[in-house]
Amino acid sequence: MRALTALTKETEASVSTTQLEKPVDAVRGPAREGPRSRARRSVTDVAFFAGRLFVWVWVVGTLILGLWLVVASFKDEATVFTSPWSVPTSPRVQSYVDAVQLFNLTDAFLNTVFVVSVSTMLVVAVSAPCAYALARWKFRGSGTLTFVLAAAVGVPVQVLFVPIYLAYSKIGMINSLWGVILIYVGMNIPFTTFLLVSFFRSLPGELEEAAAMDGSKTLRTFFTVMLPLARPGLSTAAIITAIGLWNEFLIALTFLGDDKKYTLTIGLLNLYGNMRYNTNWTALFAGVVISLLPLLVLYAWLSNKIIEGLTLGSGK
Amino acid sequence: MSAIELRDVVKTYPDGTSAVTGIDLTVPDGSFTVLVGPSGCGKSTLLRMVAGLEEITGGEVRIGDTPVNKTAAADRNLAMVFQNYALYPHMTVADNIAFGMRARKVPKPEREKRTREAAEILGLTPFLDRRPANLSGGQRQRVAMGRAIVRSPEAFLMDEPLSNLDAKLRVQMRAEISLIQRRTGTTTLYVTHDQTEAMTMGDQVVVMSKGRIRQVGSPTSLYDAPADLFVASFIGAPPMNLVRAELVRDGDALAVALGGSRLTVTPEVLARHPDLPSYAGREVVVGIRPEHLQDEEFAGPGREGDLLRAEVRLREDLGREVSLLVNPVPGSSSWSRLVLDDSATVEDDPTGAAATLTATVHQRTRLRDGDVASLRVSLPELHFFDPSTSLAISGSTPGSVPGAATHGAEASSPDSTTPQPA
Repeated sequence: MRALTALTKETEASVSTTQLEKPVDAVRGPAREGPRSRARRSVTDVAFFAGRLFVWVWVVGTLILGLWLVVASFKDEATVFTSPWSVPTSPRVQSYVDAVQLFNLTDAFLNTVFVVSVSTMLVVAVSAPCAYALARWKFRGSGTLTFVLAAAVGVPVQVLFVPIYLAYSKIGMINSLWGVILIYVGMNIPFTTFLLVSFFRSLPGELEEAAAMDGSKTLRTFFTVMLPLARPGLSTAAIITAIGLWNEFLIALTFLGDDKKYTLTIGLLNLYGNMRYNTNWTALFAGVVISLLPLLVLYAWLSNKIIEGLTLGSGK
Repeated sequence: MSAIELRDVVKTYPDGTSAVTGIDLTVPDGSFTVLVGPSGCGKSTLLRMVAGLEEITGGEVRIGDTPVNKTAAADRNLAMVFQNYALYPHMTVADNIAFGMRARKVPKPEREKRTREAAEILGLTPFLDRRPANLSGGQRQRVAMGRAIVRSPEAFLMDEPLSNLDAKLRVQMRAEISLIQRRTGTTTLYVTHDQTEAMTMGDQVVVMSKGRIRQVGSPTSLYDAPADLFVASFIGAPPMNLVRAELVRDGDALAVALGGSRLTVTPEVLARHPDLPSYAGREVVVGIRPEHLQDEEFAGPGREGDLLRAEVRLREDLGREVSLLVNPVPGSSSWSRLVLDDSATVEDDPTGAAATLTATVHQRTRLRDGDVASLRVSLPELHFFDPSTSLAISGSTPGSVPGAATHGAEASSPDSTTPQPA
């Protein structure tokens, strides 16, 4: 249980960073009362300013790196080194063609999309009902289940590689995308469940009572009332899971051997390995851009939902 | 539609706090029964036990002839209107209203027909495609009502449905709910903390405090014969004046010594309080409703010993009437009033206004602040309570359970607990 409360605190902390403006206003509000609170205000102002500066430096640095990467992927290999800060006069797409054709990024891309989307759907499909049950009812074993889930969040997945590998090789699941999906789903369920538990707790219980008075049984209430209301929470959970899995490298590398089954992260590794011999750096940049782009688009599209989901979960 | 019966119902929470104890109540088929009491008196808990949202610790709840203690809320076929409406925010008004029928597998054409009818009754037809977020408070309240009336439930349960509306809308919706209930004739159990709502809407009113029923009866019977000090001070606005006074023998008759005045006990009062003579020479609590203290000038012919002399401290013009706050005449002996405190106990007024009575007098009264008023008391309307038990002095022995007084009160009223015709 202690692990659980620690975890909810952690999510709360991350929530407050997503809405930086509000806490500061709250501190400023009652501070107009005397010299002492004025002093305290100046301290929080300095801290706030420092925090803001840090965030902006971080943002600018990341943006410059990202922009440089995109620009460089449209240059030819020579100019990347001779004038690293120049903007190419005639953008070149040959690097992208190289990345896709020579290093088989198409397969890797499709494999990743398949693995990430299937895993994410399964994770949410299992976690949502589980979280709802844990959020709403005390039943025999609910405490144990919470404890097991909390403990599972803390297990580093690396220690499971050897046993899973042995088990998989016995049943022929090595080198199978479904095998990787199974691991992905298993390792994401505990955290996602916790995220959704706090979300379901924040939904008003009166709606379930209203549904019960309307003659609706638990399952119908869950699917027709609670699940639609939990949509912001579900998208948040799905996006967090998807981002993590899109970038996942170690499990894919361990359990996928066939280059037809490679995911993007391993594809990039191969690309990088090749670059060292034929110095086609711009193709590597192009590969990185290809692997980044879908996630950036997804995030830009749904970022409002994520913030909404996290703050809703924290209650008002 | 069905009657609802509660027999010795008890609710105790796992931590040992008891919400309600020993509740015996019959909600007759088709009646509009109101549970009223201050917050924390257990009225909502009681309603939720009938609904099936709260487990019943002891006793039995019956709907119709069926005990429902073990029946899930979804299977009790009751409809409930919640304080915060509890509308499904992601559904349109039409879907909100039809949700219960969908859960009960009513065929689609029938569902749509009944939704349209309910919307028609409630004036919601133009809003059927809107979401609850785009409705005003009053409209949301109507949708919540629509969700209840669209089915044919055994009973309507309503948990303070008007408390989130502004005063004007509340009065309007109050009448609408009463009309709908009369039209459908559905048994209704309604919870409120507002005694005005209870009096105006209920044909049976159940006054509760501290987890117990204090009195059950028609609004008139509660008003005319409150069973104890709590009911006396809770029902009626402004509340009944309750003062400690000595009951004295005045020749053959009894009288109350109040300030310098003596108020005669009339045969009507003796009929309602047959035990009163045994209190002669002792202190009692006298109850006088504000409207039973009238400016002598406008009160019409009086009788012997019905005048109370008092000094006007404050005159409040209300238009239709004038409210006077009066104190004992300086120099005469004082009196001390009792008030209802926050914990639903009637006790001596702890404030400096301990001797102030309220009189609601004729709008043309010429009495001003500082005048010594001669107030005519409607002697037959005096109420007497035993200060040690807080119960109305009656034919039953002092200290008996409130229920005994309750039934007496009910019997004395001609219009108690008759169900409304459908």
